[in-house]
Amino acid sequence: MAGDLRDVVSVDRVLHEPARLVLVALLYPVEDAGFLFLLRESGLTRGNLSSHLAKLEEAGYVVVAKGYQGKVPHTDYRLTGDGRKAFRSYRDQMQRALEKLPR
Amino acid sequence: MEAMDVDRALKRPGEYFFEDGLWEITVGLWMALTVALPLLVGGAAGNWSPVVVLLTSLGLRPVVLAAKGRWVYPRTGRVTYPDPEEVPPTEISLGLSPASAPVVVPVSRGRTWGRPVVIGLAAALIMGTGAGVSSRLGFWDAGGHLMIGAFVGSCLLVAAWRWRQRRWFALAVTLALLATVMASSGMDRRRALAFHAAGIACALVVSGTVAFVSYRRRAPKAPIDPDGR
Repeated sequence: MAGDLRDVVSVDRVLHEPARLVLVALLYPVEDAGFLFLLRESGLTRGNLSSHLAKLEEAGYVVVAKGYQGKVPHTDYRLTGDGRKAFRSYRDQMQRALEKLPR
Repeated sequence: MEAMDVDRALKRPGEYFFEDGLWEITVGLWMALTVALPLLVGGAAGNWSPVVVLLTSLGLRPVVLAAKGRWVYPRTGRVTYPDPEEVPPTEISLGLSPASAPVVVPVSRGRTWGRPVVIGLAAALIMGTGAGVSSRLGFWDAGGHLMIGAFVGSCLLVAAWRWRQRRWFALAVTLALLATVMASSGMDRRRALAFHAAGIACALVVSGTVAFVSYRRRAPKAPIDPDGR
């Protein structure tokens, strides 16, 4: 199989799902972000968001921190080093794969 | 799920920092207290001190973040921005300069040293051109106001485009008009500078307050457990 094709086949399946890709892109430029922020910005339902975040957590791409602001509980998500690396690598792979696509 | 492309998702946290208007309110009040007020109530030389302005500017970011923690994050969610000096250049290009806000001209250290140099050169170019033109036209005293208007207006225009804050286009035009009015006012230099600073501070506070009120209307309070987990 040609190198370019192998690139496409070996793309990260966890990040290839659009909702998870958007979540990782939202987390990429920040230190951490709360569940409420991700919920509003992604437009996902609570259940969907929880399930996608659980998959990212399972893959080791995000870590969860629970805390309180006053009496209000909050859950923050932080992209791990592996998550950042995976996002950059996914972006490069997709760019390489799509740049030769005829218009 | 609404359509959101990856590039937009990368820029959203940066835009989120500015859209509630708290940054403008804080900077406007800071400017009124440290520049406009000392100039208005001071003696002939004014009690304005650049050292005080610079030192107090270091407290702006914590104040904005504390205000966000109180009024914004419970409604629309927390975001922790990395410290400016910890952001590698590649990530700044992806939209993380709000980390350095509310200092208007971000001061960076380490590997990001190139950014202040570029901003400094651009500022020098704009100010130099403004001074040259005003000098040639024979209103050198007024040149300072025009330079302030050109510099602050240009910064706002670039920021408005970069962080998609449409109200800053109107703010930039307002500040340019204010500079023109002050340049042609014929007041003595100190009074004119005091009124100019007060005008900029008022414009920032008004713009920020309008944005903040509109943000509060758009974003109703979240339930007690915002995570729902």
